Amino acid sequence: MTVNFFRFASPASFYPLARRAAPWCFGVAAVLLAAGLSVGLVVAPTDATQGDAYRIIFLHVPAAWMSMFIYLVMAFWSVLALGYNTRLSAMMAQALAPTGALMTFIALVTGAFWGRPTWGTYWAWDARMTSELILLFLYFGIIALRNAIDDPRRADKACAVLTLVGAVNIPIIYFSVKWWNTLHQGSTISMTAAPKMAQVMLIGLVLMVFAAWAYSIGTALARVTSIIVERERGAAWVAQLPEMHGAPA
Amino acid sequence: MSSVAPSIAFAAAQPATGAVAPAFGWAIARDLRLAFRSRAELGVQLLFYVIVVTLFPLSTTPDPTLLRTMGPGVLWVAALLASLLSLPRLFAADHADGTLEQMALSPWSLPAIVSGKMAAHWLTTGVPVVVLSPLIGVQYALDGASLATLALGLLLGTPILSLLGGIGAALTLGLRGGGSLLALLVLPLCVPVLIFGAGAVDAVRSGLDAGANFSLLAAGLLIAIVGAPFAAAAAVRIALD
Amino acid sequence: MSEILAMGGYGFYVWTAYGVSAVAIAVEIALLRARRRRTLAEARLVDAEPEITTRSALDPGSLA
Repeated sequence: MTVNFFRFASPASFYPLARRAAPWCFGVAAVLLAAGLSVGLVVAPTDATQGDAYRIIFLHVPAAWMSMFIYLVMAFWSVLALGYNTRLSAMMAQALAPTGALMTFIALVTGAFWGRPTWGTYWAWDARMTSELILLFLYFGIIALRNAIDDPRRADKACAVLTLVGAVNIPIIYFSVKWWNTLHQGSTISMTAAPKMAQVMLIGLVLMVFAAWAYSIGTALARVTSIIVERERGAAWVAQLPEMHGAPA
Repeated sequence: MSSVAPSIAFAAAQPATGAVAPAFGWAIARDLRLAFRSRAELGVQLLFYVIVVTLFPLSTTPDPTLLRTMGPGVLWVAALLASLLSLPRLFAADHADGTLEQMALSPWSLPAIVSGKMAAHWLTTGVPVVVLSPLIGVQYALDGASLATLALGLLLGTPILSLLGGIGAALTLGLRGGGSLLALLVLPLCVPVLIFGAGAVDAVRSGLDAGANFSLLAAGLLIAIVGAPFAAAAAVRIALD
Repeated sequence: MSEILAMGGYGFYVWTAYGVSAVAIAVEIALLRARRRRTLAEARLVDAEPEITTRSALDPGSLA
């Protein structure tokens, strides 16, 4: 039996799947979030060195990991978009970018509020935070390029190229910032952030990571449904959608 | 202004399919010739660099110790900005009169033509900055060894700026808000060059060895030389569709 | 409960961090829904067609 990898490769066939899957993803995310927050904010013990301030880790680490993971997934879709010239791959990349930027933003803000009580400053030019800031700029660049190009197909391919150029650059940027930071490390406090993980803390963290993951998939699917309708407006299958006839969106 | 004659010459000059050297040579010679027809423009770019570099001490402090600390960074950022100034025009003029389309359609390798254009951009923007930097670097109370390190770093780094910038110029071809968008796209990618280049001068100033910085810059240059022309050529084709 | 609010003295930092994140996520979800509403509204204006029901080609209603 051969697997048809391209079964959902057309916007028309993927749309119903995305419509049905998105609410489920949000539901799973909500459950995991509730579990993760109760472990992180209530159950997990206070850290010996950082006190209760460490609890920001349950937001900061999942957001930071998602910000990088989403970029990788965008790069994957960009490869498919350029290689197979498929519209849907590019639409998925388009759908992921805003959520990736949001995760990066959350990582930066939570990092700042974690840094203030623990290291004494809202912003310290440590390697990871600085690279995260540059990642935010890369996300903004991709979104800006998408908005600047009117032709959707040209935008697809241009953003795909930009995403891939950025993907190659990100490790280089991280390495260079780490290099720069360690050279100037003398005056600053060591930034090795995370407290040694008690098992309960680890459980809370894992729950939050999966919550962030489910949330990101949910937003990407929800956004791609809008993108598909926007871009496929002339098609007959769009005109016949139940949503178009007053069924609840 | 550039239009008809070069296009005809281009059409006449293409023998071998996919050839690299003639394509590169033709592109770099043509772009240099065109650039020198508006020498004033080149001078203005250079003047921009000088003025930006001069503005920083005026707005901060004349204290030599502080200037020495921020000098390398300022000089590098100014070089970056000066390179960005002329990047939108890398493909825009050719795109406007249709020559770019002819380049894409020709049997010559587009990456080769594109790298010729990037090389010409570097020769007209990067090299003057490299030559001028030790002179204006004097404003920052930097000693001879630091200035030499600065110049050498810029020599390795400015080609990378032209190469990465060329990708950005191709991606933003013909778009409104092109120049600022180009800067937004290219500047984050240039951060490593900035770090290693300015870092080299800092190292020498502190009496350390800048060898690692130069090796990394050189490695970056090689990666850029190999990768950027293809990425930029792909971006040009995308923009032309 | 007041322990949780105080967070061992770090309450401001912890809750601001959580608060900003919650607001950001709420904003994203609100923007998503607004986008969906707007997209469907624009599409409905122009493109909506009645669902195709099977009809015989000999149906006199379509010939007159």
